Formats: sequence, structure tokens, C-alpha cells
Amino acid sequence: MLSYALRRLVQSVPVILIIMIGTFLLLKLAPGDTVDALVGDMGGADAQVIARLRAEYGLDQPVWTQLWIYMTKLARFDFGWSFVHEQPVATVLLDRLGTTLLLMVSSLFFAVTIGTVLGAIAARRAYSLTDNIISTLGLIFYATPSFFLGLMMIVLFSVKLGWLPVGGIQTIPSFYTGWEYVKDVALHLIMPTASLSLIYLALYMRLMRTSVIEVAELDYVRTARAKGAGEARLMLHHITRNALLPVVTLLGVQFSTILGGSVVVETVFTLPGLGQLAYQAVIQRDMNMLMGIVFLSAVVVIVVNFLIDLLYARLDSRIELS
Amino acid sequence: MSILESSVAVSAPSGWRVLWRRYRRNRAAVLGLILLGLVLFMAATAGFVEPTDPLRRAGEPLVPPFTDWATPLGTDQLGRDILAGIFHGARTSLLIGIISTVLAISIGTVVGAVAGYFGGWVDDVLMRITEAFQTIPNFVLLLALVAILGSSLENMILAIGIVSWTAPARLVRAEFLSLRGREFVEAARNLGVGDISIIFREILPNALPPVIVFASVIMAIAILLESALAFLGLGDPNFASWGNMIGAGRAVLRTAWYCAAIPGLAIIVTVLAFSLIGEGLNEAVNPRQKKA
Repeated sequence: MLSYALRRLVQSVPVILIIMIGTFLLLKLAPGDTVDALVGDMGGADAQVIARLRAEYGLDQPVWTQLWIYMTKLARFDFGWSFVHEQPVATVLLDRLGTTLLLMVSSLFFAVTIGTVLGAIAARRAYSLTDNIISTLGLIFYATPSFFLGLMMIVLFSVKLGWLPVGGIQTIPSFYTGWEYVKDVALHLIMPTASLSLIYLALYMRLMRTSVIEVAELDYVRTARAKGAGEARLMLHHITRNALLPVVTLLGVQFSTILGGSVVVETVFTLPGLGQLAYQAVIQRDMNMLMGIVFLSAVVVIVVNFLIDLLYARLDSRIELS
Repeated sequence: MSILESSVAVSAPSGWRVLWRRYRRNRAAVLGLILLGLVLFMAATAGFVEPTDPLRRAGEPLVPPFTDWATPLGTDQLGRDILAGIFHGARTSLLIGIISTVLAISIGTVVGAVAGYFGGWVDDVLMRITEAFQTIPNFVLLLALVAILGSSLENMILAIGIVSWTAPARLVRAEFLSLRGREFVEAARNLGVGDISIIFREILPNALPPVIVFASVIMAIAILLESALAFLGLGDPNFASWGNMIGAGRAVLRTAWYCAAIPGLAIIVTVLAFSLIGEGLNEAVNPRQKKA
């Protein structure tokens, strides 16, 4: 079980190398290099100084040497200097990572739990009115852009009803500590979580519905029913566990898309996370920052997929054999 | 012989007609076609609604919908006609959606076909590159590409195509893996047909149907990606775009929320149309897949 997941992790090493080369190429394609940014930051310098800076940063070296230097730096999570934030890129990223991960975890949890429960209900009452309502809602959720949903929730819950805060991760100035602080952050996360997760909730719901309908027809379920298992026990112990497998697979495939979606949602709700940082980096032309985010988010996706492999092996004992 | 041939031709209706008959049975899929018709109608008649420039000032700013006949859906904070924006936005969305989908499918088809046909190290290298593209969150990559290329309409189409080719590549590769050992391929090879010719003239026509069905999904995602970029103000400012209208509406959300709500509904209708059509096509092409 562990060896399977580890094998998958080893397979991702060439993928990481390709991503390193890719970000290097993108940096090379971008107009202007580090020294241009530095000189711009200083407000200009003469040609001699610029040439010396280029030599210092290794930018006068052949491209292959530059690529090697860049890759060794990335491997040590050294993403260079951000001239906008006047800090190393890695420091800024680490500072913002927590908010994004929090949003990811809460969105995934919400999407998976509600999605699978609704999907299972729809499947048990397939082709009834309940099923039709759930399935129609799913289609509409799937077609709704997260930023639009976010704005409409702000109109309803913040502007009209005044129940929820418009944005940010906590009340400012806040002197909350302990549970009060947790409650405050949770309140700020409700709308971002809902708008980010609704598309995925719809996906998991539809997948779970098909999956439960398929599993419920299998022989072992009929056996369990013949042996006198009640409907509730049948559903919880026999069907759900197997029907969840495709949902868990999709979870791994979808994670990188959800991380991408957080760019828009964090911008709508002014959450200080990686996504908002990526948007600002584009506006401020902070290329080191942008490439740092590209690389870091790829690493996060690989780590999450490793964890999902472990979870999958835990759920499906047949994997041990292969 | 000729009698036999003609009787066969009469008894077996053409493939398209069978497909249409199966498709028609699905009410949701027919609704999808109707919604798509609506969007196509808006795109086609945009020139009649606003012949000059949908971004020009058409009246007083912030006129609510259904109050003034000159601007039936109201105006935004700059006095731009929302109805004109919606109709011209349909053009932009469809244009970007169609071209970037064709681009994504072309790249994906070539990569998937080469990987699946040759196998071995070629397959390994191409699949690792595909995985790398799938590992980077597509919207983050899209932002990076737009930051580097700039956000003219052509560059946005190019960038959306570049982030969307991986799914069709995997699909085509899987088809090629299952088709490359078939007898008709062996036969072509024994006749001395070259690799390129086998890939594009023998296998590809058989591998394409699932990709074409999947195109509507890529189209829906492409339209969502474009609207998100435009919402963030990173789209082409010279074209009317639903995403951009929502982004502008955000500034007046408290007083005039309809400025953001109307283009949002347009996006939902369009994406819903493509999802419904995609599902209907999928069921029509693989009728046995649908259970119960």
C-alpha cells in the first residue's frame, strides 16, 4: 500500500523537472529579466553597473548554466527576490500558503461530504422528483462561475441581510483569541468556501449518483440484502465504501483545478492567499513571484495526490495485491 | 446484386439520423440545443442591436432594467447599454470558445496520437509533459501566459488553448492504444503505408468521435476561463465580454446589482447549453453506457 503510493511519488520526479524547465522558459520569454527589474527598482543605473549586476546574477552565462543554477535554486525552494514586496519570494509565499490551504481543505470537505450525500440520496431514489430536483440543481451549479456566485452571495448575505462579512480572513482590528478567533475566521470563510466548492460539489454529486446506482446492482449487495441487512446498513456498510472509490480518484484529478479556482475566489473576497498573490503578481509584473507560485502550487498538487493515493489504498484493499 | 444492395441501403438509416433520433429522446439535451440556439441568435443579431460600438455611452448611467425603451436591460455606471453588451459578449464568448477549443483539440490530438501510436520512450516523454501541464493549476498557468504574452484577443485564445489540450491528448492516446493493434492497421502497414499516413488517415478517423463529443466540455470550460480572466480585468479591453461586465458591475454591487447579475445569467445559460449538449451527444454515441 505504501509502496504503491511511493512509486507514484517517484514517478512525479520527472514531472517536477519538466515544470522547472517550463518555468525557466517562461521567465526567459517574459520581457525583461531580474536585473531590469532591479535597475527599475533603483531608478536607473549606468551600463557598467548593469553589466556587473548581470555577471553577479549569472545572466551572462550560457543558457544551460543559467538553467542549472535556476533548477538548483528551485530545488532548495529559493524562488529569488520580489522587488514589489522587498522580500524573498519564498518568505511571502509561505506567509500566504496557510490561507489558501485552509480554503482548499474547507472547500474540498464541503464539496465531498454534501456532494456524496446528495448523490447517494439521488441514486437511491433514481428518476423520482427528488432525484430530478437534485440533478437539475447540479447542472446549474456546474454552469455557474465561482466569481459570479460569490458576488451574488455578497449581495444577498452581506449587503441585503448583513449576516456575513464581505471579505478578508478576519475582522480588523480583531482582538479575538481562542475559540472566538476560530469562529471569526470560520465566518469569513463561509462564502468563499461555498462559491469555490459548488462546481465540484455538483461534479461529485453526479459521479456518486452514477457510482451508487452501479454498485447497488452488484451481486454482493444482493447477497447482503438476502442475508437480511437493512437498507440503512446496506447503504452505509456495503455500497458507500465501494461507490466512493471513483469520487476519491476524481478528487486527485480535480485538486489542481480547485487550486486554480482559488485565484478568482480569493480576489473576490480579498482573502490574503496564494491566489490573490498570483493576481497581484500579474498586475504588478512580478515575474519571480508568479513563477514561484506556479512551482509551489505544482508541488502542493503532487503532495496532495500522494496523500490521496494513501487514502485510496486505505479504502480499496485490492490495491495491496497489485 | 443491385437489388440486394438497394434493399440494405433502405433498411439501414444513415448514421446521423440514428444519432439524431437517440439524441432527440433526451429532453435535457434538446433544451441544450435550444439554449445554444438562443446564444447563436444573440451573436448573429448583435450588429442590429448595436451597429457601432457596444462599449459606447448609450444613455444616462445606471438606468435600471425595463424602465427605458432605448436601453431595455438598463445601463452600467458608464452609461453603456447592457443589452448591447450581452449580445456582443455572446460573439466574443463563442469566438474565443470555438477557436481555443479547436486549438486545444488539435494540440491534444497530435500529442495523443504520436504518444499512443509509437509508445515506448516517445509515449513516456509526452505523457510526463502532459502530466506536468495537468499538475500546474490551469488558471495559474493561464495567468502566467497572459502576463507574458499580453491580453489581446489572439493571445487569450492561444493561452486558453495551451492550458486545455491535456484532456483530449489523454483521450486520443487511449483510443490509439486500443486501435493500433487492430487488423486494418496491420493491413495498412503490410501494404507499406507510412507511419504518418497510418496515424492520420487510418487510425485518427476512428479515434475522433469521443474527442468530438468531449469538445463541448472543453468549450464550456474555455468560456468559463475567458470570463474569469475578463472578470479580473485581464481580458482584451477592446471587446465586449460578459466577464468584464461582471467585473465592472462589482464596483456598483451595493446600489445596482443587476449590472453584474445579467451578464452572469448569460454565462450560466451558455455553459449550461454546452454541458447539456455534451451529455446528450455522449448518450447518443454510447447508448449502452447509460444504466437503468
